Amino acid sequence: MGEASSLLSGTARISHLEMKGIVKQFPGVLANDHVDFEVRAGEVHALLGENGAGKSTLMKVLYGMYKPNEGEILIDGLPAVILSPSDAIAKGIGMIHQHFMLVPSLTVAENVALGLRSSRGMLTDLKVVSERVIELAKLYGLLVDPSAYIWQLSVGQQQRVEIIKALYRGAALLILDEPTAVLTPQEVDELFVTFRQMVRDGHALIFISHKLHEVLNISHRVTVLRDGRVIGSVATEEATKEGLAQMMVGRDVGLKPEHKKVDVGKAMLELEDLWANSDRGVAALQGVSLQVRAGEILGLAGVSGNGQRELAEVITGLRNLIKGRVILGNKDITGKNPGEIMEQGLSYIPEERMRDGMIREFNISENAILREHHTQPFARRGFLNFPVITQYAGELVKKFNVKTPSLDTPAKNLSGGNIQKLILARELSRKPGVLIASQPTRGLDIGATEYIHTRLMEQRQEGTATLLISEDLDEILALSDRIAVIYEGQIMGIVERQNANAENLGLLMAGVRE
Amino acid sequence: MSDELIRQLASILLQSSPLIIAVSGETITERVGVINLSVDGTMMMAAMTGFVVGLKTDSLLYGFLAAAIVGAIMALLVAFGSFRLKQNQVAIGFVLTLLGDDLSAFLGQNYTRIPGPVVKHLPIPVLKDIPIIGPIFFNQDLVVYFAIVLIFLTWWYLNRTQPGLHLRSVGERPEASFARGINVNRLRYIYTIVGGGLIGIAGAAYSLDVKLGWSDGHTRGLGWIALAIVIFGGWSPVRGALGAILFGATKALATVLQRTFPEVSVVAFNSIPWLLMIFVLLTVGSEFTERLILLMPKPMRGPMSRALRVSPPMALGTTFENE
Repeated sequence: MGEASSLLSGTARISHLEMKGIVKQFPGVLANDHVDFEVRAGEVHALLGENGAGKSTLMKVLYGMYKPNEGEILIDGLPAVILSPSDAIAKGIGMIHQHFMLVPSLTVAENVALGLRSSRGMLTDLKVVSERVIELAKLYGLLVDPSAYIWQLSVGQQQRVEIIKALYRGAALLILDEPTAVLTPQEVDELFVTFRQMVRDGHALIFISHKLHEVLNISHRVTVLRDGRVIGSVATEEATKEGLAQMMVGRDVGLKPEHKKVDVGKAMLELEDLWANSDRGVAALQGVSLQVRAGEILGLAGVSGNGQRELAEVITGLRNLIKGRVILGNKDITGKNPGEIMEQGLSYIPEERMRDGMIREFNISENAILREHHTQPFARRGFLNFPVITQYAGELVKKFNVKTPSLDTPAKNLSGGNIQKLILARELSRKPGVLIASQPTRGLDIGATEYIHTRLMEQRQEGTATLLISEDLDEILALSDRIAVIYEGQIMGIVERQNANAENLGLLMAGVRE
Repeated sequence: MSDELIRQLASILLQSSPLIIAVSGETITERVGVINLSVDGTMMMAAMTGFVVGLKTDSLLYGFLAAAIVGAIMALLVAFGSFRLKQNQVAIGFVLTLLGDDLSAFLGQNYTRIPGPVVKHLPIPVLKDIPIIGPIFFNQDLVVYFAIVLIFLTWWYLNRTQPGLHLRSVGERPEASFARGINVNRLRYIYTIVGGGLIGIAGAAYSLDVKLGWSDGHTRGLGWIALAIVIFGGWSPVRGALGAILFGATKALATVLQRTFPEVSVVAFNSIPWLLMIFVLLTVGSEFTERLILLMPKPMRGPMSRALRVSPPMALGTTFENE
């Protein structure tokens, strides 16, 4: 430990933390139902579960962000009162949130200094902070420039700042809430090196994830939550992917959709030298050319913010092109408006499903006909035909397994998975020639993800040309026939399914051409 | 430099001082993430209160103090209505503006157009004799000195102190501040009230110094100008102060031009400051600025973009709840 302990001097070491009988009740939902959980110094304890299983709630209780209705927390056998994040920090508990808790307009050092007592009294002591940040960075391989602004950093670098923040405060126990969700495979490997170093130094880590292979790779123990209850706790050595998935979902799941052979047809979507700007007026697409053929899924991999969003928007007519041509079927749709493009047989599953895929306040029926509300039989002479609409929406809901209390329920009350099913239902019901699917399963649980994947594969079977834009490399690898990698608005390369793996795609994603 | 020009500049500084104070107050408020839109009404209430209290007690100190308290109370109403009662900040501020306008007219109706206490001229020995700078900056009164000190004090507090760092973080990303153990709403209450107090002092600086006395709608419109200057200044106290002075200068220029060209309508000249402000608001942070920055030589681009690119505090006007 040596150097590490000098940095952590004066802070509590936690050799054993125990949460006992935690109950957290939200209006209408029992998020944690008598949950027991424990973690020891020198181990990574993974907390696994689907969305809404209660993982985040449990951790927010531990970090003092939620007050539990029942239960207690013991640190080294003694009851600990944690009523706010500052209590948790004082007891040596740190948390890396899924959505980074960084202030973009401040520097790294300023972010680290937030909430600390300055050694110079009223004045900030950013020099002292910077020096210690550099020390910590060296110790744990978390290289980052203390004077850089957060907005200048990549997501991976921001992640490092988050870890440094916690270590700086002397965190003996770290809660890591889905820390790998936004990283490239290589960045994940680097992060795991850091985690292992921390564990060697006697830190206790709680690793929250729903990526099974990562859990198996990094953790010593796994506890699975489902519907707010502990389903089981196993040593990682004895765990298997299938077993853990089964515990999470409560039934057997097919982790990999079947990839049947399909005859590929002619090019349905052709993109020729597309150039476009981002919202901030920076070049986001710099000469993208791609072809998607009937009966194939072309995966577009890349780290978030490399032009994926702009590409989807340009194809669907939501964003103006500076240069280039988009050809759908054999029609040039460049510069057409979204309505005209949809008419030509293009369907779109938008990345921001709540913002761009639904109208939150509208009910299920209304959302089901968003695309075709103005056409027969839903509208006649400018009036909506509600009996037909309700019947149609009812069929879609049944066919696509959307769980909703009624057709009059506002879309905003549905869970993410059910929203996505409804969007899918609406978009696929038209038998699209081309489908643009942007992050179709982001934030969804295993069950919903499995369902969406099955539907996408069915669509492929039926000859739809699909452009699958995803930041989830596992998803890309599982579904795609060919994989294009985008980096800073350019296509770095296209890899055939059989040649693709996390390593070669990861390098392309980082902008390295072999 | 001619004596006439120096006198003119000194006068511009005096005229701009209350605006500088109000802009500092609103800048602090907005940097912590709160929009206090009631500035115009607050300033009128404070101008009236400051004048009446000053007159009754024959004490300038009490006058300013009363004005600061009125400003703080108005700000507290915005904060309470927004954080506790969960109402829209902009709506509350707007209603308070209208209220302040009418209430000050009503409460102050017996005190219009009568002489009252006046902030005394207070040249600073030695410093006032420095050529050019002396007569402009050091041959003034306490309101001006306060305004000048306030510019730098606000800048220093925001950018060099630990509480200032916390203040800024709360205005940008309250969730991040909360996760680091900072009490978001407490800071927002504190700085909204402090900012309101400063806006109150600005109101009294008119009725007791720059625009003596009280009349119906005495400072009407000036609060809106302060709000615009905060944006114009890109939420920086120093640039905000420059904006306030620039505004004062164009007003002075309008007066001079009017004397030189008596045949042109007064209205035309009076609109110059507004046109200027619209122009600046349009250029700051627009595509035009981006091009301008790209035209600069490389080493100049960094400082230029920092000076010209403007973005509001990210959490401006939002409310924060944990859980």
